[in-house]
Amino acid sequence: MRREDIGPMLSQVSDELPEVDLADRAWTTGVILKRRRRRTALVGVLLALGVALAVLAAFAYGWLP
Amino acid sequence: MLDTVDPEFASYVDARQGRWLRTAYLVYGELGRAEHALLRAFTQLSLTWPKVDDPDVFVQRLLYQPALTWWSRVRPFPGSEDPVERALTTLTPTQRTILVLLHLEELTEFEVADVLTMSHTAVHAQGLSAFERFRRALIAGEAK
Repeated sequence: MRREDIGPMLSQVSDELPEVDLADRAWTTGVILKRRRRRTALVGVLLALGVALAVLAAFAYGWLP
Repeated sequence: MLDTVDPEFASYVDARQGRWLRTAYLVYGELGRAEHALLRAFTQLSLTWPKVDDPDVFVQRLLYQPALTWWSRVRPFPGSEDPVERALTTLTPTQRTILVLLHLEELTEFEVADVLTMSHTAVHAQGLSAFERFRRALIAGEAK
């Protein structure tokens, strides 16, 4: 067997695979992922602000030394 | 990012999905895993589309590198009687990936090294051993 024979051999094995249509699925999943990331980032910022406000309030009311 | 698919992204995916599904099938040894890996790679591309410098390398890295990780290794081509598929099962995941990329995808050794983030020497050595093992397994399979 020569090296040149491998390509056609591999091609023959994988030639009968079904057709797929991934463009719409990939894009839709990407949109969902992006929204989820944005939401997570927003929740993170709000949480950080909440903690900062709580600490400030604690200092202001003298609960913390 | 638009809610409906970008036409350029759609034509990019349409032009490559068939070919990459075939190579991914041979690398992963199972259609479901290959399709999942390809969908994941295209999804990651859609997140950065069209800012990626070289989308082909970007997708190929995401598509083939997970096949080399030890936690994603499962027995390829379960229950297959095809002699070529059986010969492919005798290779390690790295050897199988390199063999497929060199001979089906027709990448150069330098391109394979870039996609798999390996050294050129390692790709060359693994390519040689993959070819030798694949050839021996095919001959042994034909002799049975």
